Amino acid sequence: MNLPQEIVQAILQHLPLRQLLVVALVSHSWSHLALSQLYHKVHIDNTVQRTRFMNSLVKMRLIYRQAIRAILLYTDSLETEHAGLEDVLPVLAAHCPRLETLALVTLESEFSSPPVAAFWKKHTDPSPVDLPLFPFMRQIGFYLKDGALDRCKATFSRLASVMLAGYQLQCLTHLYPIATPALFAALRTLTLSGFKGDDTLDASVLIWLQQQCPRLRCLFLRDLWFSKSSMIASLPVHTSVDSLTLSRIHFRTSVGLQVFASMYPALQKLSLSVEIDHDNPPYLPQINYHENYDDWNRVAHELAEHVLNWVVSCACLKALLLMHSDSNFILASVLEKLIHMASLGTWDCRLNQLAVDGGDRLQITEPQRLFESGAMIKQLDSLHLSSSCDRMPLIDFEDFSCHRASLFPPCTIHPDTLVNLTNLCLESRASRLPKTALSWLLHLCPKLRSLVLRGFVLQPILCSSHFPDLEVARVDLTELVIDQCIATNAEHLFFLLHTSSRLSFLTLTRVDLLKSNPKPLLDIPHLQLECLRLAAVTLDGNVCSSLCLVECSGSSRKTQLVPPSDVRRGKAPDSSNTGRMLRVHCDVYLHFVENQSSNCLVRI
Amino acid sequence: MSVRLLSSDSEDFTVAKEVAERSMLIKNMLEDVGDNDNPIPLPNVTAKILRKVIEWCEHHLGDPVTNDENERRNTEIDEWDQKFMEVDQETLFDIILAANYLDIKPLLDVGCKTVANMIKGKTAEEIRKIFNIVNDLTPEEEAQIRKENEWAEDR
Repeated sequence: MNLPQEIVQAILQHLPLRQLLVVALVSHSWSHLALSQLYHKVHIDNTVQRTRFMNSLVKMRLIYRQAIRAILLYTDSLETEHAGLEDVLPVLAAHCPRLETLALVTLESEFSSPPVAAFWKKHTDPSPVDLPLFPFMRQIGFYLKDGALDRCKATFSRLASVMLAGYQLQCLTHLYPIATPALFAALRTLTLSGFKGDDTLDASVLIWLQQQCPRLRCLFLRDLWFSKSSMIASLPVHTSVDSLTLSRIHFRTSVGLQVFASMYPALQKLSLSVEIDHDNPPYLPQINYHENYDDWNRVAHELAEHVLNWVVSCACLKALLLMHSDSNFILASVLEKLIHMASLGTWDCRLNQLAVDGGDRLQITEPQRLFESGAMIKQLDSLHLSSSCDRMPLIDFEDFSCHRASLFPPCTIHPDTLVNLTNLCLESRASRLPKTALSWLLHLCPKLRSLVLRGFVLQPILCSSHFPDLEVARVDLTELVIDQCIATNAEHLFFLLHTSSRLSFLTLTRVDLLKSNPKPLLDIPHLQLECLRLAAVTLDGNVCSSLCLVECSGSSRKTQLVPPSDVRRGKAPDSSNTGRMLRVHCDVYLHFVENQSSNCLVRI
Repeated sequence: MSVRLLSSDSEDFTVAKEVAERSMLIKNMLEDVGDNDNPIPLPNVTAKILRKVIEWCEHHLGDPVTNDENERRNTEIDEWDQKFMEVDQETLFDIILAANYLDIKPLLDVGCKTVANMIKGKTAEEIRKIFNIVNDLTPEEEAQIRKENEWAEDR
């Protein structure tokens, strides 16, 4: 009886370290699993063990040194440990090439709130500006407080990307109120997130950032409270920042947003999710907005007004991302007004990228106005709509009319509205799927290059009354992703793929193909595919038990892919109800094919 | 409300919806299908194993769902589960595979812990016997593994 490796791995997780050492002597494959588990996260309890570990480390095979992702050094006190680490760090740096986390843990800190405070991210740009010691280092343990911050100061100027907790930044602003030269001279990306409930942000921090990060281009702020409500008279303008993300930033009054608007007027990309702070941080006096609904309403209106003014005043704004927040009113009203202003011509809209995440309040089909007016949407080349709203009616696969609201895009859309789109991403995370038709989308967006559909029912035709027979136009798609979808007519989908002559990236994952042939064949030998990804495909509700990939170029190589592991693991294939084979006839240059995992199998 | 499940050997099971929904696989399926009388085919699970799995799900119906990795790993197997897992080895492995397929994490954990307990305290040779593994390590390789991991030995 042989268990698959993933199960063996799950079993080994329950073994104590000592037993892992025994398991490592069982066989080659078990040895590998046990040692990878042992070295993934190394706990070192005391200095004696540390010495022995360091001695073994220098002689250890690369394969296990590479497995080391985290080292936790348990210590009595953080203070004494600092001195001892001076020798240890360079050795670790030389021998653990993939170390991501190094943490000092005292018994005390293990029980206190988040032990992780500072992340140092590996720089992803081609010009490498890494943390000198560990190229893969993302995170240094929480000891990076006062003194440690000071000791690391020398490396700050080389970092290109940093993640800090709100209170760490507070700490830095106190340590170096005025630092020359600038502390983070090379920093281009800064992520500042709140870890504790009381992480706050105010205008003075933003001004400090402007002085200390002169080359900052991307600023991400998330889960923070904007504390000061007083407006500083003359705010400096931070012109180097061209991309700003405010994710779940809490405002008590609308002044905070004004501070942002006046400091960052030259944005090219703005991503917004703001909340009105009815849950005050613990130390502030509580305001119960539920009782003072008028207050709440007033703040929401003011915020919406400020967002609107900010967006309109950013003359070179190219990309706008509006995310839902608990006060969804802001999102809806801002969007509504922007559309209105764009159609009146009072706003010179230069957006070419728009993303709206309606969250669980706004249906994906809801921004009707966006499609109706067409003013804002016509010049977009990238549109991303997503929603997890669950108010869809149940689907009837045979219903090809548009009297239900779940059709998308609506039949009433003006045929010119989406002609300029090259990228379209529609995502529905609701459990009841909205309907769309690939041929309809391709008809509306003739220039489309990249199409991502997630969580949809794909019909061959959209609506029988308006478009009983839609002719398939020439398809210029180069990338198509269909994920978590149900295709009501597999043959039609295969036919469309067959006619997409320029397709080079194709992904079909978690897709259920209905009404497929008894011997389904995806026939795309003429496509110059660079990447083909097939995973968890089901045919009429049956797990697709195997893929037969026939490559036509040259040798006409034939690849019979093993059935997905969860099918193979059952009993011998039974002809009545086990899955069927999907044959794919293609010419793949570089392919990545899988068909796996029961837990991501699509819905029937 | 009840749900019909169809085992690989075509035996039809009718179980309460809450019981079947312990399986994330079935839960997701049900959410999407809505009210429907058709049985859900489970091509990887035989009737014998499915019966066991349903028995387990029925007993653990009221259990709170915990997502905390550590908590799941550290809790001991309770008495009922220990009894439940007293089956021959092939059945035990089949239950684990079914739990993995049906995505019932707590059952998978119980199964893996049971097997882990079988391994605990055994020598490498005994483990090979249990799992029917052939030793493909040379004495030199064995020595190297021992030496490399000495540091972790004594704790």
